[in-house]
Amino acid sequence: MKAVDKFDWRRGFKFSTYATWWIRQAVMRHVNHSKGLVRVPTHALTLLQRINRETQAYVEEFGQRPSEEELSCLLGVSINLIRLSLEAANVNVHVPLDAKVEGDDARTLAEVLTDDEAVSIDDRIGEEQIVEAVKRALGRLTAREEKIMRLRFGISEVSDEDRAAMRTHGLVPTQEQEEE
Amino acid sequence: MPMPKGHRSERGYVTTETFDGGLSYREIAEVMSATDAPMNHSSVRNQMLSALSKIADELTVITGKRLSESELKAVAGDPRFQGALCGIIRDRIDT
Repeated sequence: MKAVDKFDWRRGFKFSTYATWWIRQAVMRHVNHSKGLVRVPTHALTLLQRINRETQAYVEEFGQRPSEEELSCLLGVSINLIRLSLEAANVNVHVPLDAKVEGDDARTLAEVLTDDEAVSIDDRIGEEQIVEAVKRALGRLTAREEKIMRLRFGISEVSDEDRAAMRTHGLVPTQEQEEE
Repeated sequence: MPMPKGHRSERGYVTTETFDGGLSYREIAEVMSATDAPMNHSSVRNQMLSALSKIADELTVITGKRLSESELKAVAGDPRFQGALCGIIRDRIDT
């Protein structure tokens, strides 16, 4: 509705171009205000988005994160403002790991939180045991068995020597035969 | 009396497509015949299953339960076992 009210046809732009910008801003504002426990002002979030964009571009170009001073130069704002914005961003996402668990004063969050991506100790030990067992078993194979297994699994390609021997025995066509 | 229907594996079959870049038993037989000793595809398969049985036997040590010869052969021929073993050798051992 804001787009309809503020649209000025005399400027010569299409309404859809104008409306898209307002819709995008309204959605972003709603998203920003509905996430996190502490409400951060829109202008601070906008600055934070610019910081994130610049940081990403900087990392892509130089392979490291920019310092606060560099961000200040790039964005044309004071270091203090950069610092405050970053602190405001951290308010929403950081919870101290040594905070006590609600209803259980004896334990901290660090003790009860699980890392979903980590491989469990049992799985890791099991995997290592399997690898070691396979290594031991491979040591028991005869040279012929090992060669056959390598060829079957596609671990070793047929060597030039083997290919030459196969040509001698007429098992593969010679280069002249292939050319014909 | 009806003719026997033959065996149909419940777990599918191992083919050269199971192992990326792997050779068929006949191709391996040609390589081995030229470089090592005369072999046909059947001998190659027997040698392969023998090797796989040795590995399966070593792996049963972890589980603490020893398998019989026939059980080891069944494990060795299982495409899931061969696929997993190929992955372990490629990714963790032959690097």
